[in-house]
Amino acid sequence: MSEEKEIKEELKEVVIMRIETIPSNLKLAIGSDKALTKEEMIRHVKDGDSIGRQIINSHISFMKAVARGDFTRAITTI
Amino acid sequence: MKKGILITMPRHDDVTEYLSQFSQQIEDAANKANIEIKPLKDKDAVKDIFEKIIKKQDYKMVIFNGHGSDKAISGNKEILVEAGVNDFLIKDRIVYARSCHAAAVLGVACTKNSKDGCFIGYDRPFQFYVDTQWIGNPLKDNTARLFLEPSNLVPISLIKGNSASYANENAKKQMLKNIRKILAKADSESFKIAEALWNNFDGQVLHGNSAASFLSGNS
Repeated sequence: MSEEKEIKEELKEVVIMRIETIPSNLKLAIGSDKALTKEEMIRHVKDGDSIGRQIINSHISFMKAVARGDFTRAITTI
Repeated sequence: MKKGILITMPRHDDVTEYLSQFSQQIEDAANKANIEIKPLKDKDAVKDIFEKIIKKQDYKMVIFNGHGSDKAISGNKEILVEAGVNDFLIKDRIVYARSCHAAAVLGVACTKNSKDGCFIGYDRPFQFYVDTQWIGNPLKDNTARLFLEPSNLVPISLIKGNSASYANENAKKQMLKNIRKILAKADSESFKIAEALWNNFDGQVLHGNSAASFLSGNS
């Protein structure tokens, strides 16, 4: 259980590091009434609320697609 | 059914403002094709008006812009259509929903046992980035454009007489092209924008009759 929690915290940190590279003039619209600043995205990820989970899931889905080769295949076959 | 379009365009927050402003391209495409299009804008994007118009006009295509859940799609701060409640209203129609999650349950429910209808939407949150420099003038926002123009291709391709399958694939192809374009820039935000575009690409699904078009069925 604590190993699961540790992995989850590590994943949050990776997602947060990626979010921190976003320029401050960009906001993300993702299942919320308003578009989120990067500070708000980071807060949601740290809180692990439903929006935070959506942000993390989007990241996981993308990284899996990259790792499996699906992403590269898709963008090179159009 | 009448060969026409009902499109919801609420604008009660930044997100719906963007969706509705970029929907002008869809209205323009319908007008150019001489297809009747009835927008439900702002305070008209409510359940009783939506139900009244769809029953009275019996339009073949319905386009939703708005927040959503796996079972429901909202308009101006209220649910318009919900699985198990009034989803029969969109059964047998061609539906495109630019709403989070709605393809997961509502899209399946309204196309079950439907011969002519289809539902193109998203089984997860539909995402897009906005540039705060243009938040007061969304149509000048080239960052948001990367997301909203490809998704507009779903209804625009349908308006041009193409099948649901073609419309779905055409929009997805443009998302991939935009991913390549943004990655080629290699900016600090390129990867995050690509990730959000991939989310929409991977999450856009078609339920029901993939051959459905304005030209098929009882129009």
